[in-house]
Amino acid sequence: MTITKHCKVLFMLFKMKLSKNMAFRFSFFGVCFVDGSLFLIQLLMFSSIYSQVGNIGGWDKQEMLFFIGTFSLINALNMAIYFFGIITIPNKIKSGELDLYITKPINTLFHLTFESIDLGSVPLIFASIGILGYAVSGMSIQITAVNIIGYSFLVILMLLLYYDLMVILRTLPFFVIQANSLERLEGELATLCFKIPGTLFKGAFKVLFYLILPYGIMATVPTQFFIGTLTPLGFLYSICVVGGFTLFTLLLWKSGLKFYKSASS
Amino acid sequence: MRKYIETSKLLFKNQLVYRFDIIISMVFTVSKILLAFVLWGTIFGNQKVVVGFTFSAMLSYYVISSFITQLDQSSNAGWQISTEIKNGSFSKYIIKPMSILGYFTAQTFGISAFLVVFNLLAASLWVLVFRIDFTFTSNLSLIAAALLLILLGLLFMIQLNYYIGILAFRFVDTSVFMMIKDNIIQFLTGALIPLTLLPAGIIKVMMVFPFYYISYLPSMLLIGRNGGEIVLGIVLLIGWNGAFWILNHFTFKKLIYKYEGVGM
Amino acid sequence: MKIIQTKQLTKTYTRFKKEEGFKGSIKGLFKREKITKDAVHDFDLDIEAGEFVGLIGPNGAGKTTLMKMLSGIISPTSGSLSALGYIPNELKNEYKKQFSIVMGQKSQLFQDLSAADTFLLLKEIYGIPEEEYRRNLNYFIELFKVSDYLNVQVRTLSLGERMKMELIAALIHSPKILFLDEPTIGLDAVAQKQIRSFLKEVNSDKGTTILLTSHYMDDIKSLCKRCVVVNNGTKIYDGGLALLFDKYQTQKQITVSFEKETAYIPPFAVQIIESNPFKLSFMAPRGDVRDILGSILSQCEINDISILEEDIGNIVERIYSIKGGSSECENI
Repeated sequence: MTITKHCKVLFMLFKMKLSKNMAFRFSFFGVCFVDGSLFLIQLLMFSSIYSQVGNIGGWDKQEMLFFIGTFSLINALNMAIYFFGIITIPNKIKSGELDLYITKPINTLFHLTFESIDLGSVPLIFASIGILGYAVSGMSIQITAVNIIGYSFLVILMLLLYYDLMVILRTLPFFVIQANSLERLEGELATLCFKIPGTLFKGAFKVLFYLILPYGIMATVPTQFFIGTLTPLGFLYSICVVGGFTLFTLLLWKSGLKFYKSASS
Repeated sequence: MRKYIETSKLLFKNQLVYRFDIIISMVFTVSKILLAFVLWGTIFGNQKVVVGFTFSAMLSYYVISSFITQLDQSSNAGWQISTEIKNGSFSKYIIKPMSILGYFTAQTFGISAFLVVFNLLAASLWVLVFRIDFTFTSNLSLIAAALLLILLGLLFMIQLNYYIGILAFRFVDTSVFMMIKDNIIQFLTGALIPLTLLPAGIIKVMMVFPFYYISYLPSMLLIGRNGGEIVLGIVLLIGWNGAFWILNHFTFKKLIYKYEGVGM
Repeated sequence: MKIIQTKQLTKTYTRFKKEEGFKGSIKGLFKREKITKDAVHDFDLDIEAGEFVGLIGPNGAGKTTLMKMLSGIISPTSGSLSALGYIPNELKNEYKKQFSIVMGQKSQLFQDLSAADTFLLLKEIYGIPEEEYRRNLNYFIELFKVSDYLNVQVRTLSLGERMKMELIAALIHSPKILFLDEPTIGLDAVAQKQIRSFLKEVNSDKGTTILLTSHYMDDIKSLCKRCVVVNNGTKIYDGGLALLFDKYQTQKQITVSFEKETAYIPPFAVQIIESNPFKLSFMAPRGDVRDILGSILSQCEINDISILEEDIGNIVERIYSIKGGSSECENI
């Protein structure tokens, strides 16, 4: 009953968002252009570096390419599904627009999450898969169903982790007035961790990017699994981190709603 | 001139209200240094010199270049202009007896002036934290040239972003365009990797455009390299500044007729 | 049946002081002074099912804060609060399905789509059965006479048309309680009047309990039998509207314009607002209005005459200043 209701709402939100987007044609594929350019620059940067050096911390060019493809894939899925819904949260808190969401008999976070599904990001998903395919074609590994299923599972898991981190940061405006910079910080850290494989981090940075703000494992772990360098412990660890963060996200969100001040209209 | 100075001062003050942001803003610069530290640390583990850089020279490059890049806040001005044109609040500039480009230049310099102190602190902090054997030229003429280039570069970036900002008069949604621009400029100005890593042919082409001189050349000068490109850099930046000033002047005149002032 | 009940309800806000000037900004970096303010203080309120209650008071009196607590948007600092047997801030879906809130300055309609699109989304969110949805929608389209604008982009609607759509959006799931925060703000007189008649209809026809805040005295007068006056977060009057006016609306503004130059001075204790050979405007005690009019009509050739009710702000101000003895504050 409640699942069918949520599916129906999801479908309506999707339909409305789609008809809304059709009004602005250039922006419709905006994500493709913007993140596509980011992605191309990333490729350019690494091919420049690989023209001077043979491998970076044990990652050869093909593996790095696969890593970049993975980050691009996670990013594209994030953009397509929940990114544009989540980023509006701080403003809705500040302007008091959240009032209208809170008073609806549907989970507020669910509503916000799936309010802005972006079909325009879908080509980016295919482009990422293309890059992954190209990277694999240059590798000398055997591809099995286990590879693909495990990889897909981990990508979905990391998508959830990315979601958790996004929501946590955007829940903070419930408690502090100005948190713009936190969002910028997130952007910087996510970009950083999407640029270099997490295994390159050592010492305190490893703790930071593997545990406290685990952007470092997002694209790294699925890639490691695919090329066969992920240990069972690493696999288990990823699941625990994602589970823990998801729990924390939900708790924080709940207490945020209790704390909500609702800007006076 | 006084009104522009007041604008700068007000913006400076406005920044102080958000104390939480200030701390974070300082921390920002670290992400680039950290990237360089981790990435190049790994690479330099295998070889001593890459395209003439030692590890410490490479890190110094990133510290300096990210300091300069962080100073340039003109992209925000561009965003502000286009947003305000779209929602109609741009009218408030049009009715004021001052040059709009002048206003935004003052605003951006106000923010930059604020950031300079904190970014210097941050940069010194990173040098200490990452224990960088900091490479910095002692040649005064190189330093002077770098400062001049930085100033001209900031001015150019304001003009560029102003131009892109006022394009919102003409196009419904310029945000996609602006984001792509931000991405590309990051690469073109050498904020991601020193441009010398690129093939020589590409560098030749890049030297015709202003982006090469905005943060890449000053950074190289400050670590004591590329001294021969100073004159070319200054001449080109002055030229590009002039060209964009003229472009802005006429574009604004032309586009202002399209302004509807919605929801003023 | 009591549908809403609050006891000693209090909401305290904390704000930071911002000192002016450059030095103040720097100081604010390190130390900020806290200021606390009770937006709502020890508020007791009982509302029966089917009532239409007006909530009046000056800006910042705490009306909106009260409404936001009742709808669960914000949680109270202390005191107890129950609506339809639920505690609003627990945010139970069962409760949310039974009320609605309309804020004059916030729109829940999607600007780029038609109102009908938003209604369809609400149908799913509130889980309204198809048949009930159709019935309600038709009822309101008929009542509001909006069939022509239903499939028009909301952005292009006039403010009055948009507000009608907002009301339909709020009522489409047949809520038991409707919170209205300044629903007529910014509307022209015609649209205000229309909205008022719809609200009256909804209240009597559907039995919806309505709590309304408004700055327009006409809204309150034509809709609410009972009204609650709030100032500085506390209740200073709760009772029949007629009684309120009898007691506190002591003055009326009379404006007369003359056919020709006239030097008329009313033979009563009045407060002159404007006086010139062709126009006279003054405040007069309510009890004297009849005699004054008689005197004017018999002595002058008048072109036009208008009698205005006193501004709501004045009345509230007067209630507030007189409020010392608490006998005014009894419930009906």
